[in-house]
Amino acid sequence: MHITVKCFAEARDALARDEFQMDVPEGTTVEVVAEEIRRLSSQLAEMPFMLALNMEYPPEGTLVKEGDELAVIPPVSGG
Amino acid sequence: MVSVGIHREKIDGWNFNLLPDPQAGAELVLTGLVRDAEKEEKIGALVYEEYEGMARKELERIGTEAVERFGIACLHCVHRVGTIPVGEAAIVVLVRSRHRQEAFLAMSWFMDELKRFVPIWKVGTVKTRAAK
Repeated sequence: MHITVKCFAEARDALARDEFQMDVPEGTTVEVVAEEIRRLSSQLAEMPFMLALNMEYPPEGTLVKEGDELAVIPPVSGG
Repeated sequence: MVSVGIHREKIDGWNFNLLPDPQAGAELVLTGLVRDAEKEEKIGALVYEEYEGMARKELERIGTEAVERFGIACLHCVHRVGTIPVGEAAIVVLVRSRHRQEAFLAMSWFMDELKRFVPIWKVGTVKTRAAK
């Protein structure tokens, strides 16, 4: 399955791109995707981040689907 | 009632076009301003970035939860993104409630949640001429 991963703030710097595509097998959870993403950069390995799925924070164990949009959300700093 | 917005324009003087509410005994407004220093360095402006679409959804989600959790009458919020000069507002939040206590509690909770979940980031600074 193809999914799109968007990158923001420090995560974009660590991965040196705004977004990229990933191929993952059926039955992949968001936690597994997070582990895969963490392996892409040594900076990300140390960085706490959340993963958003289709613009929401998913419950633990949520399965990703073909065409989903995930986003790497490093610690936020609005306000 | 909840309304939220994210804009690139200056938000000084923002008034949420609210009608009078005779049941509200308190109206609390928080204006979050850009300070002149970041990590102990003098700056001229902060640069904010959002995850467009999700930032607004998250503001709405926590605003709605604040209304339900604290029993306030309404919460309105506008956040600015882009380059914001020192002294200008990055955020304005208005809460109305029957009594002041729930307005203070709701405002504090809303800001804490915003700083945990709303995908908006300070991604850079603009130096002052003196700091270059």
